[in-house]
Amino acid sequence: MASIDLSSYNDLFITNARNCIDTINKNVILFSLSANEQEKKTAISEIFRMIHMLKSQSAFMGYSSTAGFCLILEKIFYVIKNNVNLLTADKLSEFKQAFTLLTSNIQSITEQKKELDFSESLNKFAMIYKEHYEDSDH
Amino acid sequence: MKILIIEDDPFFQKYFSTKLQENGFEVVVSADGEDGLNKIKEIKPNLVLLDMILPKKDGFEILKTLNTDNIIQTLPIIVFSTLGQETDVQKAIKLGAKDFINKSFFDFDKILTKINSFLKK
Repeated sequence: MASIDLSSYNDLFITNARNCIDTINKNVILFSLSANEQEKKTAISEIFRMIHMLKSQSAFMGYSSTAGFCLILEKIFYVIKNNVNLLTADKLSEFKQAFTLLTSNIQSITEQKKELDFSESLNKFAMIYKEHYEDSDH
Repeated sequence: MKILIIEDDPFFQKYFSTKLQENGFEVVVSADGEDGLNKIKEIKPNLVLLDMILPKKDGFEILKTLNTDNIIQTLPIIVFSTLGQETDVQKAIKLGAKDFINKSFFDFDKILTKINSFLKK
């Protein structure tokens, strides 16, 4: 593990994490409103990139539950990035819940310096990945 | 010695540029792949730290371009990896990257040793 003082990076982490989640939410809206496949693909690519960023930063800061949850979302959105038709309306609704949870998580880290326990959600999305996206992942 | 960091994440841009500057390096940062490629040609860095997931052009596209332009033979490229990117690292090494840095779990002193080893060659 890194031998550095992470507390000096906490504010930067929180600011960047909030920006990532804001960008995710904006692109969810863009995806929902767009009828154009290229625009949808761009929106998904941005969501994927933000999840990846959040994963990396969280792992660096020692928020391993957050990083693990982002990892499964990243795997799913990597697949969706290559075929946006795999993101159906019902799945989108599930992912919106995941993003809301990430928002709550940042709030928990901000106020209590503690990440949420993602184990239940991680299992749920691992199942979603396995059932709906794993076969398309290559 | 000049290091170019091609990294879209403001968190890691800040962290790596600060730490490298503290250790005496001149640091230039690019936030996307297209700008990164242009900067490689403009500023001629001694080493590049390259993220793989980038806007505009990703790290793989950059490595392929550097191969085509024969730049990769003389310019050490170290790629950033994070949790779950083992396959990406293997692909990057096959495309000519010299090594990787796991930016989530590391000891900066070891990173420095790695960077310096490539700069001495």
